[in-house]
Amino acid sequence: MARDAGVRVTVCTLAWCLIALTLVEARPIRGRTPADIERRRAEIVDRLAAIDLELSAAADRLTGIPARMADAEGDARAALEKEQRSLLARRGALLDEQATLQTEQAELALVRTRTATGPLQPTDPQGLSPLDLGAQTGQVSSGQSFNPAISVIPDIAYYNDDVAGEAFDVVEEADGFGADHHDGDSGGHGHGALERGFNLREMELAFSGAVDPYFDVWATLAVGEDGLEAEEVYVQTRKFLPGVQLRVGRFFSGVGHINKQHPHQWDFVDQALPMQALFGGTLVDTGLQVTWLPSLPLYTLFGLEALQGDNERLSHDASDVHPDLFQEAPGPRLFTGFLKVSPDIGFAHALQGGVSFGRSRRHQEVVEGVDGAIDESLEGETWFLGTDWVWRYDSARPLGRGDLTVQGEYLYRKKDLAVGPGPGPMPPGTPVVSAQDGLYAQAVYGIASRWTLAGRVDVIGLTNRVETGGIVSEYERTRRYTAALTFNPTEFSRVRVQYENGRAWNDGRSVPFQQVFVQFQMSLGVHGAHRF
Amino acid sequence: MTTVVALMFVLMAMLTPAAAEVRVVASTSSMAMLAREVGGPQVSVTTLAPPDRDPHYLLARPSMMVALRRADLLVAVGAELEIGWLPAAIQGASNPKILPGQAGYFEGAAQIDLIETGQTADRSRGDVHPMGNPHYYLDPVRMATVARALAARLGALDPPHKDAFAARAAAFSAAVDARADQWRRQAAGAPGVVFYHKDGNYIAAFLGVPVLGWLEPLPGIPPTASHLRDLVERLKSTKGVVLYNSFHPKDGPEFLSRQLGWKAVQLPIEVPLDATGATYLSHIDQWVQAISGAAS
Repeated sequence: MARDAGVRVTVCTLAWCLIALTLVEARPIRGRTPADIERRRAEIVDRLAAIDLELSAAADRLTGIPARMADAEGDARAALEKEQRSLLARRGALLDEQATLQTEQAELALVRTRTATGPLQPTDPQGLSPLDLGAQTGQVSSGQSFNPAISVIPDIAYYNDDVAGEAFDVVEEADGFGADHHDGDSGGHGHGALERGFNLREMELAFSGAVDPYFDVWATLAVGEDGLEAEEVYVQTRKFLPGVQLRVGRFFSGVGHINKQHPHQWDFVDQALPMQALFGGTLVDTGLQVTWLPSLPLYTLFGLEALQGDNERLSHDASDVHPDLFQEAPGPRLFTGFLKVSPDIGFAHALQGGVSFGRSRRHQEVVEGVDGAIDESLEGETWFLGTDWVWRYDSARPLGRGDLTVQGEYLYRKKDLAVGPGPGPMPPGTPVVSAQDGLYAQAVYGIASRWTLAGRVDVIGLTNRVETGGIVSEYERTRRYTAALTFNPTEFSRVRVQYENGRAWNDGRSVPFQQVFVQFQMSLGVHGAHRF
Repeated sequence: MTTVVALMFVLMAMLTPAAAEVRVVASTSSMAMLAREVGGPQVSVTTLAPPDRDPHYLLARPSMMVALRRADLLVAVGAELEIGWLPAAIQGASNPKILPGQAGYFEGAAQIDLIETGQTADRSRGDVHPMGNPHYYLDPVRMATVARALAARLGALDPPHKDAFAARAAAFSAAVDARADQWRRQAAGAPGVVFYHKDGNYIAAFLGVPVLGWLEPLPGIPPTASHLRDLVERLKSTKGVVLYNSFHPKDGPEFLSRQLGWKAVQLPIEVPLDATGATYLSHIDQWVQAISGAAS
């Protein structure tokens, strides 16, 4: 009932508003179109001008009459008196008309017509004319000049392998590492699997700029097969404290060296294996990062991160997918720290070493059987430790000729999990502890101006041990050798040919594979410079 | 914990230079020369880019960030010459004092009028600089203007030595003015010059010598056979000189020199790391001599 009454009141109010509006709109116009009003305004102006002329002429004649009357006698004097009377009457009528017209003019000035943009034409839409505001209504504006730096980076690849297109899966499911499971999206940013043939691997859209004197924003969106994805979107302080930068948002973790690089900064088409196997690609997460560069003669950068923990291979909350098996693990779940040190060894050389550490206080994963059914649920803690080294030599020869970069990283990850509730055979509480690692080493050499040749060795599973309830399973190593030849016509474009030869172990069986890539990468627009 | 923090402060206090001099970081050795010439003993100068490297293509090394982190003033060439590395180094240094727009940021290009402004911002035309040609450091008159502006900035950062900075900049300007006519006389009648890159355009304009061409078909693109052939075709039976820098490859200039019978001269475009104003003047001498060499 109350609701009906409410509706009625609303309807009545609306009706009254409409009627009132119509009245207000109609009043000054009184059935006349704006064109009529324009016409009437012009008539008034003309008539008022004529009245002014006539009034001043009458005034002149009236002023002359008294002098002429003094000289005149009899009939002439009577004629002058008559003229004076008629002039005064005419003057009164003119003044009355003037007053009436002025009132009408003032009324019409309130009516919206097109006077601001010139006289109304018969073809102009009626009733849509702006009110005359008496001066320029334009805006002094910088238009689009506040646009951020925008760049578009298409990444197109031709791909083939000799294992029926399965090379990516072969590595992904390498013994010991394949124990991880893939419910829903991959937690890491796996710029991974390509189809045999042509692939638009992704298109990066990067925006960056200063928000105000205090913050910069960087947004990198990746348009891939799965649609638009926020690869990195973060806010960074500009002048928080000398040497201190805060970063909030979704970003590539600063651990290691290669992890914070976007695919267009890589020296190869694909990501290094240790990151692929232990982080599922790149460790990218939402959270807070603090870095501190103290004012020392030696480059020393400290970094700490508190991350939500959205990485299936390291720190993951599976409770939304499997509410029957897990309880929600509130974030932030993953905490990392890193230190980079770089001595100054002259203009030609640069050396940087780093250590990284990370710990996830809660990690949940499920183990699936061959048929895809869930065998076990696992929950516990994980941590990792890594070190990264980069040496670069700048030869001073034209366009990169003779330049050499050597870099390597080692990453060790331990998962301390225990069996939770589930349909599996193992009693809840059974410890499942896995220890795995990986390393890569790579060198890039400028064989000619604009041409580089790069080689890389990847090994994962130097340690590859899973201990389930006291029973230790050891798995084999997976190796991969990569060579890449890159031509950079300018610093904005790149064509790369890459060959890989590897051997992975799947279910105790050795699977050799070869991969070939041809990659086209372009950087269109304004893209900020990259850090070391 | 408190001990650690206390130790850190002691360490930082020890490492902070006690001298009240202005710590200047210069992007290139030409800018370092200006800072040294104008700043005198009141400044300490660190250079980021060595003179034998192409300042278009450098890497933002961590040691650049160390220098910028401790800097009071950054002196850059500007006009996007260092766009590939300096913004990254500034960002990595997280030193609020030297951000563009602050008192600690000085860009020479912002103090003078540039030539070749307003080109289409279209990268199919090569590595173009729509804001103007940034290689003004071979123009002594423009460098003198930059020196006077730098003196004003240093004076704002270190008011007690304001007059000394102004006096040194005026002396540098006077030294340039004293030589300018002699340089122009020396180059008068020089038939023209072919540069490798557009980095010689300012000195050619200063001397009034025509630029007959560039070895690069487009800025930043290495010489191609067809472009070199075109140059030879166009310039044969004329006179001139080919000039290129220490970080440019020799093959193109030498080919042109052989085909045209011109002299090809390789010259450093940047002054040495420890250059002063006097070094810069003899550096310009060298260029003037090479440009006018074809006349004799």
